[in-house]
Amino acid sequence: MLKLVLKDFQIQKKSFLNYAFIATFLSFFFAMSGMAQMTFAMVTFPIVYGFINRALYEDEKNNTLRLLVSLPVRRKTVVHARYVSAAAIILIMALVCTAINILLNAFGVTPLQETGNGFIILAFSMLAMVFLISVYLPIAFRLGSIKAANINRFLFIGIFAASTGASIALQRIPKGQPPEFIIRLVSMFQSISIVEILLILSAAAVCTFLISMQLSIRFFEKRELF
Amino acid sequence: MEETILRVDGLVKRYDRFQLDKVSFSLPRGYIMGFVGKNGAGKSTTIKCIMNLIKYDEGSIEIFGLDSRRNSLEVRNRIGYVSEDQYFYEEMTVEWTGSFIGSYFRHWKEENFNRLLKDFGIDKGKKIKELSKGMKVKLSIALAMAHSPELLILDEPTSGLDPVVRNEILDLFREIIQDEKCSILFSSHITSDIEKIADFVTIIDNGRIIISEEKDSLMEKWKVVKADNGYYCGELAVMLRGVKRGELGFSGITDNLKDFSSVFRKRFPEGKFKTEKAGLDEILLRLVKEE
Repeated sequence: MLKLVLKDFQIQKKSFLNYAFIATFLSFFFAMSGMAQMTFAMVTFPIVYGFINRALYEDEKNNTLRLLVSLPVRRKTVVHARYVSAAAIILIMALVCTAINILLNAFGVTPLQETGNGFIILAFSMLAMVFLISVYLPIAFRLGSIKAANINRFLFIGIFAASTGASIALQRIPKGQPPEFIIRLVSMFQSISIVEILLILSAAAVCTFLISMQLSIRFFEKRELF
Repeated sequence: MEETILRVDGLVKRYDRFQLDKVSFSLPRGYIMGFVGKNGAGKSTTIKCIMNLIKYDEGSIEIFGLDSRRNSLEVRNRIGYVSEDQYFYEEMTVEWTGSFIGSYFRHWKEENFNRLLKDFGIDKGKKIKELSKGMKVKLSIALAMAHSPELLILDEPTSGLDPVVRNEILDLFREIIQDEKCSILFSSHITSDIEKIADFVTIIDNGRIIISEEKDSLMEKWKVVKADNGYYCGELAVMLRGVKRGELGFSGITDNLKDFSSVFRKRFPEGKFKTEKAGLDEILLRLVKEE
């Protein structure tokens, strides 16, 4: 399985330069816009998503899934390797961003408070990535990466529309008169610490990731590649 | 008794407009079987079922005495497979491809792979996308052979190759089976290649096996019969397969020349007919056309 995981990185050697460029550009953009704490979250998202998308696309473009299933490798192993490489890239990006954050803080470039907020935003964005990948990968294993990317596009549009709609709806709530359930939700969150929220979400993300993997295995084992 | 390395029994695979219909044949260890048929006859479908790349609906496939579905990993470890089309990571090098694929086989030998690359004239440092179609086929063959497989399954390995390269590859196959440990199942619509090296021939048409037997006895048994149109009659026509009628005469093939001759003599005591050896091409064309 390790060879399959490494393969996902090796076939994208050339893309790392692009990723570095994207990271640099977005870092400057958010830092200049006064949203330095958003930098690492916003840099990680396109790189992680781009990496996974590219790995899937390379197999689709070259039809190399046909090669892999003709080797003495179980289809289950091919799926496991894809999930491990997805988890690996998320962890690598988290480590890289953390290391850079610590360095910048050590050199006094970023204030500690912003660093702390940056970590929290990074953690939430990592969890969001895990949830999105957990939805994306089973679709890719069922239908192929190109169709999955098209469906994913609608998913992102849907998420964007839902969050925009929610924010407009919240803005329209007359001051001092929020609905009962919102008051209860806010007081519930106020009673839980940010660490507890992160832990709960992390547990949910891991469960979703594992369920997603099982689903992908089922889809891929049934998929006719020829 | 010869060990049967591959046994296909009653294989059925259904598609909307095509099906493999109770395909059965077997290959003993140490021999080459040519799997012949026209395009769309079902050769690749059969091979993909053997390799467990597609699920079949009925029948059984045993390789090395093992059920190919239940023991697919063990079986694939001992098979070298060359598919009809070559699938590689185009941006990666030959060397990387060998290392990646080789890591999955227990008996992979790097020195074998390097020797084959050298024999085929393939530069290890080249990227896959820089190789020609013929080079990619040769690379596939090198990858299939480098782990000393007990069974080589080749799906149209010589199509798209020039005659010089085809001949090289056929010579290589002949060399491989010298030690009688390896067997080869080799599908092709180029009957001359099959004729050159196969010990057994299986002919498939429209998803059904027409013939599966030793090549020498097949070529010995079937003869082309030619006679003038004046001797054409229903009684003789039914004894021939793939009958063609021209302006001056008719021809067909028969696997029972003795009986044909006896009926001909009875019907036309003064008549004459000619016989010729039937090549594999002729046998295939005549039998397939009739089906």
